[in-house]
Amino acid sequence: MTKKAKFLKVASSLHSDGRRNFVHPADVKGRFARSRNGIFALLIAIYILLPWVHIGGHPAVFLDIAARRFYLFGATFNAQDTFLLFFLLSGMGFALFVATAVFGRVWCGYACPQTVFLEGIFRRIERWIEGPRVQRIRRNAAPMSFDKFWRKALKHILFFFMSAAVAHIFISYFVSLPKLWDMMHESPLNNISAFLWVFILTGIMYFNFAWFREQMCLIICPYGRLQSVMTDLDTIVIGYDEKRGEPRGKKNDPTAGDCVDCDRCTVVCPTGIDIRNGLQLDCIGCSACIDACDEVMGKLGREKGLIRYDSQHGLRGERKTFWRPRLALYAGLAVVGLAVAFVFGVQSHKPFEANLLRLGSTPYIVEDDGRVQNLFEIHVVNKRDKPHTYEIAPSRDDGLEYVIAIPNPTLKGGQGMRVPVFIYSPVDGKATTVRLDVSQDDIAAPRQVSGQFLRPR
Amino acid sequence: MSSEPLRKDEIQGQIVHVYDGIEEADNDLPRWWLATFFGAILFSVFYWMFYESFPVADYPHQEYTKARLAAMEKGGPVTDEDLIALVEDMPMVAAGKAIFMRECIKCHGNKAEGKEGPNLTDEFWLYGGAPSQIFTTIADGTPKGMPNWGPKMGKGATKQVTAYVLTLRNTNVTGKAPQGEKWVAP
Repeated sequence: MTKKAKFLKVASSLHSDGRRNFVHPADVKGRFARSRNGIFALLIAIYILLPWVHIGGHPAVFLDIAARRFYLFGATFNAQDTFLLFFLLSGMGFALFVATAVFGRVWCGYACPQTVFLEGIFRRIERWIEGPRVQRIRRNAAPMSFDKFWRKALKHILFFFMSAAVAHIFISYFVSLPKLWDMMHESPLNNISAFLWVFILTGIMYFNFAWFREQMCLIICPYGRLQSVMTDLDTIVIGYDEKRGEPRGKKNDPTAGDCVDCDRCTVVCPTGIDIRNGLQLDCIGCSACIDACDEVMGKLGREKGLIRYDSQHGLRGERKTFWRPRLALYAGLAVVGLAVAFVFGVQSHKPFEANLLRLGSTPYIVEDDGRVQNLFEIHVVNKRDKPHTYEIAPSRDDGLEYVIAIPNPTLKGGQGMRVPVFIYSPVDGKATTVRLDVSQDDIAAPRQVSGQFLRPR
Repeated sequence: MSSEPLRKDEIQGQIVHVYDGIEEADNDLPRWWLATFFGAILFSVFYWMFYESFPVADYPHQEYTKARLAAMEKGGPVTDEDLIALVEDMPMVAAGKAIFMRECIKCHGNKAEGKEGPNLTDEFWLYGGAPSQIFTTIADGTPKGMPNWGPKMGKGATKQVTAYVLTLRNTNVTGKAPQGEKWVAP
């Protein structure tokens, strides 16, 4: 494809024998770098503050796994609502597909936690202590010295503390801040599982942000690997205008294209690729090369945008189209998922759950005296936080005899109970429907549950 | 590409396969990836020894059942509601069934259809069919020959057996004729 295609034989962050080719990206300035830094700061602030913001008496996002209660922006969900997660996650997933089909890996470059923490925190610390790219590379190649030792030691200590901070904030989404604060004051042995979680998470974060970095995006992240099937020639990606740039040459060479082969775009790349080889799996869409190239073009007095956001059709100078079938498909599935999650999410605000279930393998039992028995159970779940007493009673006199094992169960907050209900029909009974009312002590209107009464024909 | 097979160090980084213009280079796997691969194999040996060959620790589900049992030993008075709730608890019922199959079938029969002891699958009970009554019968025994299992098994195991017996109720296995009084849920 291009004369530099030999670089594509191995991923740029790896050697062909499997050793890591550690990437040391250079600093970059420009409009995209500025907006990215703003977005990183905003997202990190949201990450830190969400557990502090209370909506409806609970943290805005509090996934209380121990009690199986999930608080999301004022709504409370139970373990019974877990099916919503399927719709919510697939809806959000397809929404991400839409973004990918339109704008390529804009998520990876601007919003993925991997990028936000790495670029927003860890690489800044590294740059602050170890200096710019050239210094870092030179010092790494040099033998150990006092200067190298203290810089490396300080960097890794700070990395460890930042990893621990990120891990603690992460845990606060699952145990709430006051609880986390209490646990931090106690011996780790008192909260061994929470402590181990934080310990392991800190270890994973430290390993990931200190060393693993772009390998996550390149080899582990499933979205990164999938994105090549979600994009097409009309997807806006970061690309190099080959028509304008090639052949590369010196600034003063009249036969050369606009690319002066300064390699600024490759040294700023956090995954170490050369964007001039075309769209690659390793490109996380961070736009660093756009800023780098624009700066050079500006200095040369040439038009900016030799590397730019454009579709592959656009880069080739061909006709661009926006509406493609895949957009409608992804958007449709995203809307279905999010709509179902939202509608059921609103419905699950009900204070309690009551379901009538048929029990046993036999549909009915004929007693010795000819009466017919059907066995049901009512599953009652208190979805509120405080204990409540429930009353289970037949809705009306329908000629059936209802024997309710526990007619007035008291349930703790979030607790559920299955109450067996034996229903008998007299010998000549005709009723085909059973109806029961379940009411909560502080709510006037009962909830009716119904089922079919089965009998021999 | 030459017809001679290439040595390993020559293959590295070479294009070994072309299809539809897509070239495949034969590079070694990333070393960190290989570390996870061999690490997982090492871990499986440790895991196998730890849980299977020389059971140093229980599997999580066994540990959970034991913890539940310990909690039940300590629990307060035995209530109908607790026992009914226990019937829904698959691991508890399974544990009760295991004890039943070991101890109880000697007198109550393989299918609980009754031998020396009464049939447990009908609606008739000599000492009451309420869950707490069944618990008491198992725990304290009866004058007619039912041993007092409570001191021997402990409260938790007695609850488990009760839970299993509650699942047998009204399954009406053909066997010993009904004894005692018909029990109807209050």
